[in-house]
Amino acid sequence: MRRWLLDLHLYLGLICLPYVVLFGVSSLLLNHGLQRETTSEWSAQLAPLGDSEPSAQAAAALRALDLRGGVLAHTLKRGDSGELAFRAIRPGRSYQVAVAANGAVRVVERDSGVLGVVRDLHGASDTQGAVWNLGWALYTELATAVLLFSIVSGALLVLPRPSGRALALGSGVLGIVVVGALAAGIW
Amino acid sequence: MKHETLRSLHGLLALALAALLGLYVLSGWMIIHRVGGGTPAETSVVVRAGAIGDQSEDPGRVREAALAAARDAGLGGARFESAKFAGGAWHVKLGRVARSAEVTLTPGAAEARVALRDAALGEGLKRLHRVNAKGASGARLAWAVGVDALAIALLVFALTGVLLFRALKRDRRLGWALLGASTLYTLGGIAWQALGR
Repeated sequence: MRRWLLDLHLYLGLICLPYVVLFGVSSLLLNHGLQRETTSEWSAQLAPLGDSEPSAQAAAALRALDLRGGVLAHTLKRGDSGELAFRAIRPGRSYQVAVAANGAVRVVERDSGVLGVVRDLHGASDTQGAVWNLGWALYTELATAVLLFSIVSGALLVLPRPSGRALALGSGVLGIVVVGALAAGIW
Repeated sequence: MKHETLRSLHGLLALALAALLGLYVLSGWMIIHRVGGGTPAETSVVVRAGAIGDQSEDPGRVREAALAAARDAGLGGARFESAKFAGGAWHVKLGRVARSAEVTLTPGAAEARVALRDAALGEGLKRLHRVNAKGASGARLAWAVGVDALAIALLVFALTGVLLFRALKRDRRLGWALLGASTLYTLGGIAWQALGR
C-alpha cells in the first residue's frame, strides 16, 4: 500500500510539475501586480460589414486579421452608423478592435510578453476552441486534483514514520493555526 | 544534499503549508467553475459620527469619519475603497475580505448610517484567493507574505520532488518520459501563446 501510494505521489507529481512551477511563478507575479506591457496601434482594411450578428462579425474580423483570441461578449458594441467595437484576449495579449461600416479597422494591441502569458495561464479555463487551450483546461483540472491528492498522500507517507512524526504533526497544526488566524484577521 | 534532508524539507514544508495550499486549491477551483456565490446578508445600523461638510470637505476627513463609523458598527480594520458626494450626502465604501460597508454621512448630521454586507462563505473564499500585496498593510500584508512563501514553496516542492524521485527510483524511464512530455506541452504552449498575433 505504501509503495503504491508513493509511486502514485511521485508519478502524478512529475506529470503536474511544470504546472506547479508555472503556478509558483504566476502567483508571485499576481501577488505583486508585476506587469510589463507594450502597446501598439495599427490599421487594416476588411470587406464592409454585413448584416450578420455582431458576435459572428467580430469572430470573422479576428479571422480576417489573422488574430488569435476570444471575443469578450460584454465588450461587443454596435454603433448607430453600423460600426463594430469589441475586445479580444488571449494569454499575454489583448486587442481593442474598432471596425467601421466600410471595413476600415483600427486595432490597439497590448502585449505583456512571456511573463504575461505565464500570469494569464494561472487558472485560465477559457478553451477558445483551440486544442492546446482545451488541453490546458484539462491539465488545470488534473493538477487541482493532484495537488489535493499530494497533500493527503504526503501526510499519509510522512506521518506513520516514528522519527520526526511530532515535528511533522507540529508543522501541519502550526500551518492550520497561522492560516486560520491570518484569514480571520482579514475576513 | 542528503536524501533524508531532502525528504524532511519536502515533507515538513508541505505539511506546514498544506492548509494554505488546500485553501487556494479549493477557492481556485471555485473561481474557475463559478461556484459558491450566494447573496450577501445585509444589515443597517446608525452610529454617532463627527460633523462632516459638503462636497468641499477634506476627503481625508471624510475617510476618517467613515472608518470611525464603520468601526463603531463592528467593521474594524476595513480598507477604504471609494467616496463620492451624491444626493446631498457622502457615500463611502469600505471593505474587508468578506465584510463590506457603505457609510452614508450627511453634512452637519451627528449620525451616520452604515449598511453592512456579509458575503456568503464561498464568495468570501474566492475574495480571499484574490487578496494581493498591492498596497497591503497589517494582516493583509502578513497574508500576502504567506502567499509569497507558498509560491516559493511550490518551486521548492518541484525541485526537491525531482531530486527525491532520482534518489528513490532505479528505473527512471517512465518518470523522465512523463516529466518530459508535460514540460514540452507547457513550454510549447507558452511559446505558442507568446509568439505570433
